[in-house]
Amino acid sequence: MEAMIELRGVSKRYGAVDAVRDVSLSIPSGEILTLLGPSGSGKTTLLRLIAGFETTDVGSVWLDGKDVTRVPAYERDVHLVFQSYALFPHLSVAENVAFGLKMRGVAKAEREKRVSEAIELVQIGGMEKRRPNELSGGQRQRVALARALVCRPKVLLLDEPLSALDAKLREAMQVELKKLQQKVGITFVFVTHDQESALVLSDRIAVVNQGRIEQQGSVAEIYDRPRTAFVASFVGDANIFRAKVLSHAGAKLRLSIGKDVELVANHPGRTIGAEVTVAIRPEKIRFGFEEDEPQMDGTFLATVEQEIFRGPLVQLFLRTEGGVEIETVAAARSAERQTAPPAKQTWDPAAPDSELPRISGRQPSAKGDRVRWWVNRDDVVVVE
Amino acid sequence: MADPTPRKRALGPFGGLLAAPLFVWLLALVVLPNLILIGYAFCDRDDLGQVVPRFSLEAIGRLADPTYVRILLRSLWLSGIATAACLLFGYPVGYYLGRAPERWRSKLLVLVMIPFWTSFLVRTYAWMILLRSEGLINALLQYTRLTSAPVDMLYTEGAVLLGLVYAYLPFTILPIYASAEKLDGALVEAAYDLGASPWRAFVHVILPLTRPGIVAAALFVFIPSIGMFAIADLMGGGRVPLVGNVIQNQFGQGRNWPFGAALGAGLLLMFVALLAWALRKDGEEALHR
Repeated sequence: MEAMIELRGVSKRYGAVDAVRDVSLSIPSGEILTLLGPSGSGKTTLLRLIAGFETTDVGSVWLDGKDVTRVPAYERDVHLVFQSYALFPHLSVAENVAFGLKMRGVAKAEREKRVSEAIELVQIGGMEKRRPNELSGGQRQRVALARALVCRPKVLLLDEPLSALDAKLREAMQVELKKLQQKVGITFVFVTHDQESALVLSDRIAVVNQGRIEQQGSVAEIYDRPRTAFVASFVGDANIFRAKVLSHAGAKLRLSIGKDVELVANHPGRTIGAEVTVAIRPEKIRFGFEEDEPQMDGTFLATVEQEIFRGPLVQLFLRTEGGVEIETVAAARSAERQTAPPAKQTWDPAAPDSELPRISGRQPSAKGDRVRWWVNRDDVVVVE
Repeated sequence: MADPTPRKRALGPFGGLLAAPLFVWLLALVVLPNLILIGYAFCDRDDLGQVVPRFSLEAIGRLADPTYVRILLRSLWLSGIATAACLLFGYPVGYYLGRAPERWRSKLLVLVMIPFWTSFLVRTYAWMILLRSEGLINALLQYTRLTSAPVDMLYTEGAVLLGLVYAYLPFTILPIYASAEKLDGALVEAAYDLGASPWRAFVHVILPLTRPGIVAAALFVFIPSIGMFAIADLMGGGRVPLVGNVIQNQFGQGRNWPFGAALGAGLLLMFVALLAWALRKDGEEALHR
């Protein structure tokens, strides 16, 4: 697909700080890309470079096949939804939305038509005459969106657009933004430090750390195949282990972690004895009560050290005898079942207990439970 | 999102007392003297110029005298030009200071204050030395053979204007600095982002949002410069009398206090009207902030 935005070897320094270091990034037309990173990682600088508020020290910025490196912000066909929304306080909602069209010299009749369409699009009809300070946070955000979208930019940049909203509204807006993007078909670039928003909203994610892009790829790639320990732990939760290579065969590695855990990972050869870092998502850890699960190669014993109730999930912290600590999650069943003494669950009360399939409702989730756990080798990711 | 308008903290039932010194001060030193002034405007005077507490419209009537109307108009004109010039020169400075990096702001602001360390009169005399026929500027002009004879600069309307602009420029810079400092930089960027060239961003966003500072600056120059007499005396050499000079004269050598009071009361009325108009506009703005 045609790249709408391309950064080629871009660097930017502020005094002694390297905000952006040799970043190359290509964003296909019509996609939602998220620049995800902690604060100070350089993601906002990247956004400002694309918007045209900053100029690159080295490298070039391309928009829709044209070099815009030296084109000022007001001549770039890119609009930014500011984190603070930056609505003009001296103008009404309708005047705010019309601002960009007015600056571009769109005739009044056309302007009014497009303003009312944009206001319709973001569902703030009836508020045209209000001033920004008479709106709620959610409404302001919609005005900011309408103001940027009304000009039909090639790219819409959104700087932490959801950070000022409360949790409930944020969830609703995530879904709405995604729908909106599909409707208008404009390339969206998000900047956020919130990995959850990034996962929900994006087609692709570029993880930014210390001025560099650590990894870019589809949401599933980033989540399932993180390339670095930073990506693994910043996007979602991850167990990060230091492991020693015991042996390798074909594309498989045999790894030892701590004193009593040995795992197999899919990974092309490494020297025996080398140290590697592996990441395992908590939900990829399989486990059951020690007495329920057959003892096999690749299963390990551990004790539940701590449980944290998280609504739909229970977060469990396990510890093997050798001292390896593992984080995992389990679906939270009803409270009684979690604390009830281990009893076989049945789906047909009339049938004899021993012949019935066991239903996974019985799961360890209390402190002190003895568990047996294992993990599929596809889920053990060797990272840098 | 947090409530954007922080609520004022309650001061309790006697909180108003904290402002009592201000009210007493205003009453004793502003309201009362002005009432006395207005009272004098309607008084008569005897042959020696002593004020007599007898109702008379003579002083008020003299306000319509073409001589004084002309002086008033010239004062308004000069003050207006001085205000415009102060805004023209002061706005860029105030805006620049207000948008400068935070750690520089207070240091730069001190530069604006430095002239106040020298007495106003001394600074005005310094200008006279520069401007007079044998002054530095004329010497330079002749030395470089740009002119063959001294140019009359002192004791002209231009000199008075220069004096006014020089005296009041810092007072323009400060309120503009204050409103430029408050201006959210994201709004200016938003204007650029939406396709406004720097000039259009200035006209459509920066100017309207710093308007309160501009209004305050204009009032700070316009009002005191109408009443100013020292500059017209020194730099105008009495050849360019302003309302302030006339008033000073009536209370001094003229020994016509009722007429001086009438002039003063007239100016006061004008300023009150001007201020009310300016505040009304700003009050509306404030409602929408």
